[in-house]
Amino acid sequence: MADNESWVLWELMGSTDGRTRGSMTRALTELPARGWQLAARLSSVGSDGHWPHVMALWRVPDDATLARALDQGWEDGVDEDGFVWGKSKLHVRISGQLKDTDTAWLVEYLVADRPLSTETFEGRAGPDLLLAERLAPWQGVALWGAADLFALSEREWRGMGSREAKGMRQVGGWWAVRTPDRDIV
Amino acid sequence: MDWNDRFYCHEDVYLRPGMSATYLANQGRQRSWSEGHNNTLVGIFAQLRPMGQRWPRAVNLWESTWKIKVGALNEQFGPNEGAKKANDKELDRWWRASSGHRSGGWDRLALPGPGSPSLATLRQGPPRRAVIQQLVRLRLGARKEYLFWFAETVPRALEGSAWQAMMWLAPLHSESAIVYFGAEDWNRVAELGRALPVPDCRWEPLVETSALKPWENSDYLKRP
Repeated sequence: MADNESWVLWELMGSTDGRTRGSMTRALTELPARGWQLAARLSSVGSDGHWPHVMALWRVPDDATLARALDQGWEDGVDEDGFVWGKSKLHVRISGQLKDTDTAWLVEYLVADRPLSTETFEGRAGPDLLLAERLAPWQGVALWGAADLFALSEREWRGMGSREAKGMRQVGGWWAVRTPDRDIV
Repeated sequence: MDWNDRFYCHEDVYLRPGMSATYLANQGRQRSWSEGHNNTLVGIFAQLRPMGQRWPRAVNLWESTWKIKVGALNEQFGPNEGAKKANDKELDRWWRASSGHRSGGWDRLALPGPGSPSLATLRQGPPRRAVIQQLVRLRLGARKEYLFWFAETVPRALEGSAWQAMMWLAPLHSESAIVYFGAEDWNRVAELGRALPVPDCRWEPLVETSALKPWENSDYLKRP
């Protein structure tokens, strides 16, 4: 794990007046290049979480690229009319990676009583990707993936999630899918 | 407590789309109260996207005393005492003109934590335009211990780094703290992450982190 690599998770909240998951995702993918890599485009599933709501997981390769984005200020090419509110968290990667073949995930926000680490899930099945906040490392995100929503359901039945992990104090999550190419509301 | 004790107002403001720069300049120049009741502007900031909550969003941070702040609030919200700036039409006109810049907000009256620097202290040394804000929600009864720990531990932990613990505030009416870190530029965010000590889990800290860009005329950036 590169020490100065960062992972930024964005959430964008849309609205029923036309700011759809599809339009918000297009806006994300059309952002001017700034050295960030869009590792995942996720749409929250309306029956389990915010709606209409999308997420973007960005990999930022180094401190200099992060600093350039911060230097841009709020004039960074994001169309603020295209969503109701946005939210972002800066992370470091603790373990794992997303599988290219997965299309459905459980996304969890975690709060533990100690910094998240490779020991957090020691002795039990862990998430596909575990991230810790760079400036509050006892908080983070876990992503549990599956090929599709049917496979994700079966993973839920077998026992999935961070509630039983070491030192966990709060866990809250929802289902998301890779945003399909067709427009979705 | 004394009427002349240092007192803060932290305004957490919900901006309209694309209005960050316009809002900062408009709000930063506004003084709506009678002479002697105006608060001192520490800074006005807008959230940046790599770290933030509910953007577009801004923070106005004002330093005053109990006497000045309550005097201003009384002028605006108290019984009608005749024509004064905040209860004649001037504030009303500005308020309506500004409605295109923001839709509302959440304000917090706050006290300085033990040893938290004043604006006068922040105006010494190099201007710090890279600012990180953390809103730290704590278990009921834990804040006093947290703030003493912060004052004792965090500034020392950041010595020799690019970052300075700028302020640590205690909102009057919630079990939370608002803390600020500043650097001259954004080049070493990772260094802050490595240097920050981890608070005691018994305080049950729940942190919202935001990266902030200041309005260039913010008072904390001015040098005597």
